[in-house]
Amino acid sequence: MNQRSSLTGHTPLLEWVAAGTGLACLIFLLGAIGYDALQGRAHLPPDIALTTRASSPTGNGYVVTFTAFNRGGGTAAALEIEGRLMDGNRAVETSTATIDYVASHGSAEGGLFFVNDPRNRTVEMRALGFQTP
Amino acid sequence: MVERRSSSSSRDLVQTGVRVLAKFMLTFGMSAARPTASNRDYAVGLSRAFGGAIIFGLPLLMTMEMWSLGLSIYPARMILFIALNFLVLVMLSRFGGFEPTSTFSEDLLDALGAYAVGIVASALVLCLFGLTSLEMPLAEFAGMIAVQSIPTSFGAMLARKQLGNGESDKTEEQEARSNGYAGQLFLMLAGALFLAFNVAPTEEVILIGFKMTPWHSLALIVASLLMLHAFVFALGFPGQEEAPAGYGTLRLFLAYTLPGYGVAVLASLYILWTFGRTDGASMETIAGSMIVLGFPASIGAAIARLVV
Repeated sequence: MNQRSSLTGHTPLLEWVAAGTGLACLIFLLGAIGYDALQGRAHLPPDIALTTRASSPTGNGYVVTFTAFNRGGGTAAALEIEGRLMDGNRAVETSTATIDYVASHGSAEGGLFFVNDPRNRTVEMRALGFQTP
Repeated sequence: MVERRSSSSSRDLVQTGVRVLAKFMLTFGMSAARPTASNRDYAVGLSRAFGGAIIFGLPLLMTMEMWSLGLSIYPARMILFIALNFLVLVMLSRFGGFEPTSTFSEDLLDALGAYAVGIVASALVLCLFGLTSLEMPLAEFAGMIAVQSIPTSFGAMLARKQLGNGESDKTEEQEARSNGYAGQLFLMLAGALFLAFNVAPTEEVILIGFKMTPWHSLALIVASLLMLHAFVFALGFPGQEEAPAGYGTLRLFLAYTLPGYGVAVLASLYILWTFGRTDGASMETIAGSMIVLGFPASIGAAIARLVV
């Protein structure tokens, strides 16, 4: 600490940088969490929007990947997703997938497997249910 | 190791040869720096490094997520982390390491040695647990060992301080290095990275983040800051900070605790990113995870001085 005592007169530059970085991190965290706290969104239920991304053939069928975006306040855990392969008004095939977590205002990706070719048909997707984490 | 100029060139050559041989042995975890080290010293140093690797690595060697994590999720991010870990090991060797060093190349060799011990220890324990098989793809096996070698190599590097005679064989130069302000910040970073990495692979980190309300998060920030400050300055731990002359409580907070917390949460963010925990997450969720992981990270930052 000998070199320190000679520096008591002025503050080293590194100390400014370090303290500034620490302060910036703290302000970011307090800001992000404080904003969340003030909005009080955590009590709202999850609201899941599903969009299909792509479909491609696999070894013994097809896979349709999707994105689940949570527009609601709360986190959805064990989110169950059902996809129905529609031929006109008739459901040809139904598959389900479970996603561990979709945080509030966050997204998660998953996929559904089908035996029939989904490329000339539509896939109707909906969230079946969830549990609170 | 102090090199003395020899008048005879042939003796010089022999000396160099002995030094190279000694360094080669050192890379395999030996603690004695003298070329005249006996087999017993060699064995003791080797077992020490292995002991350290297993003690520090065991929690993660027995964590299920770590077995499958490998390089499979984000190979580039994991390789970057392994490279960073190597840099941290080199720096740690400057500040202590498992043998006293005088040159940068020695630190480099020691870091490599710690990695070698870490890799062998990881492979050995994973094989003993029956987690490896001959049918396993080589890439999966390599990934498994590569991830595990991060905590085990860290343990091998710290073995001398923790399992050896301790502070007494730390040179004055190393002492001075780790006492400087930049040195303090680095030690905080190493401690934060290590402790945060130890809990980050588990699912519990994100689950805790989801369980907590924003108010819990705010309280955890305050608790982390208080603990960091208390651990480093107020409690009577051995190796505790000596407050630089003329530093009041506020100045200490601004110069050490606040940067320490900044280092802890940045290290947490980096680790979360490495494990892909930030993908598709909103800013609030990321901030929440940073706070959760920042708690062990700040404790790691606070105790780094005691461990290294």
